[in-house]
Amino acid sequence: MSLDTLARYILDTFFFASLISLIVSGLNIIYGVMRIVNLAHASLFTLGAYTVAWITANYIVKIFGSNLILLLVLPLTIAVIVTVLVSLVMVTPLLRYSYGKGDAFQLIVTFALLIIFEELFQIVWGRMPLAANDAFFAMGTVNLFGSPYPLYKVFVIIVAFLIILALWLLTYRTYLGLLLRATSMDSEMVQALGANVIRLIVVAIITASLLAGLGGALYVPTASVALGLSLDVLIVAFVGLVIGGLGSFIGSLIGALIVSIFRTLSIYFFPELELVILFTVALIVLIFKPEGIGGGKGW
Amino acid sequence: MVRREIGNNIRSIVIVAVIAGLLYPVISSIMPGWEVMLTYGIILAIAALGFNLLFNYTGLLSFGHAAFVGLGAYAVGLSVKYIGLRILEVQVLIGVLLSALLALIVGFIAVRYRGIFFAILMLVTAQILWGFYVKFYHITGGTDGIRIPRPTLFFIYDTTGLGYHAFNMVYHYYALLWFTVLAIIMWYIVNSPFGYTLRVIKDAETRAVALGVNVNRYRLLALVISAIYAGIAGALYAPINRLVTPDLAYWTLSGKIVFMSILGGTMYFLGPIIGALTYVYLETIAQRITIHWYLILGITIIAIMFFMPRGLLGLTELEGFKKMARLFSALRLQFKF
Repeated sequence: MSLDTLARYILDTFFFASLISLIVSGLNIIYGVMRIVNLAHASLFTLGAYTVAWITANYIVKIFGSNLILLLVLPLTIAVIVTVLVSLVMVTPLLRYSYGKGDAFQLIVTFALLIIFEELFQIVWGRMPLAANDAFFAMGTVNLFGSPYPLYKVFVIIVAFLIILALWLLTYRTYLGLLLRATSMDSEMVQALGANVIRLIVVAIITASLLAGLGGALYVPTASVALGLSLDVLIVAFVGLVIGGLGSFIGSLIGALIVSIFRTLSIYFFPELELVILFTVALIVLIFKPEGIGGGKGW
Repeated sequence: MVRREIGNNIRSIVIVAVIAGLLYPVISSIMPGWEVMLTYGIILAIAALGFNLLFNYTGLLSFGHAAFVGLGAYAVGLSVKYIGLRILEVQVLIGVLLSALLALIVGFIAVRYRGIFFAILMLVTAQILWGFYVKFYHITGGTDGIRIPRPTLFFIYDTTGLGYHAFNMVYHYYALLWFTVLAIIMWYIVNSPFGYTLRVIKDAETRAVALGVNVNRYRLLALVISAIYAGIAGALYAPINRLVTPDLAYWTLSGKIVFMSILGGTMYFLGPIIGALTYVYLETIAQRITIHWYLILGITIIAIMFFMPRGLLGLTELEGFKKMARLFSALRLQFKF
């Protein structure tokens, strides 16, 4: 393997890890506060992706031309707003009223939500894949040991890093984060001490939705978005969760990185076996380290 | 305490089977074309029974039962395509062996986990198989699927010469026979010491361990039985559908199996059966109204979970229904029927 291929592989891994860590940390926030793994979380990622693809192709390019800053900022902002609004209407009430009703109940309800989202995407955007590569091409490439590498992916890595850093500051350096962490350890005690747990839950879901929508919005200029993306993303994120351990902030980031290493490898060398490889990794981790890398340690 | 539940006896299974048998000629004369759904319903009921053994009695929620249904169906499809095998019983047997083998391999690790882990591991299994059927199209025919010719039933009865309606009718009673036998076997499984051990594992796992029960072995066995039921359902599904496609292993089919069971009421033995039979007609009606059937499906699942968690059979526990039942038995005593 030559130097430029290696560097390309490493950057691709980090690019993918940035997207996955946005989803996984969202899943983790919700799990921490509510003990629910929200299966429909990946649908919000897809929603962000669809919104950007649709808005860029139909409006942004037509109205503003190919102004780079607008191409980057405007669709991203709109997509995040749309995702949060949809989450407020559809996801938040369902999760909030599923709180404390048991594993099976929550899994079935969020699974139903996944089905509903999939059908809604088909109603609104149809069966054909959507793509909007304008931002991707407008940013151009950077010279990587003699071969070009898309600058957009580097941009995504930086943005995701900043977002994760902000999330870390939020959870570890603010009063709200303190309450969130306390709720993840003992929600009854937090309630007894006078904090409004339901409000915390809503805040957590909105934060998580924002992260998922942002992830999808960042993803779409590099590829196309089609039906079934939610499930692919869900599975990859789940493997990341298994590796990192449910409920661990740092663990989930490491999990996202490890799952990206394997996924990028399989995409490079055996694209048909991607799921099999991820599944095997998840099984191996479950056999030898069932609680995951950061599992059981809380936040 | 064991709750007295409606229809948890062999007599009810036989009654349902007899009704499903008698309804067929009635529906086909009143509403031609709607009788086939009854056949689909009893076949899917077999898969739902398998799902419920895992969900209600063992406490494991599987989002990947389509994996086994698809495996059963492709056992029929591939054995026709490559070795020209058309004896359905042998094909069912192949499907059963493959499903059991897959359940053993995946279950070996998956049964150690409950909740989300088990659910998603099964989901991934189904998606892997689905990907295999779609991508290896030179073997499986890809999304076009495999055409299934008329099968030979009971080793000697070749159905090739039968007309469309005659075959559907014969096949309905053939499937009904499978259904009755399998439902009765399932009843014995559920009400055996094995079935009660599964309930203990679901309700009080720690206590089961303390009593010396090898929890994982029991769960694995439950998964294998459940997979066998789904595999048989898949194999029986193929000839009546005349086509085997990757859709039979797609995650939406797993969702449908979950839906059938909760629609009928997972806490009742008859629940998945009633649910499956109701489901096929609901689906047909909804598909005539709208092409976006899955939207209705998802919304209905959520509505049932929140407002009718005991499903259709749960309605029998309402006071009004009980009054009706008392009235009915009083009438029966009075008029001796």
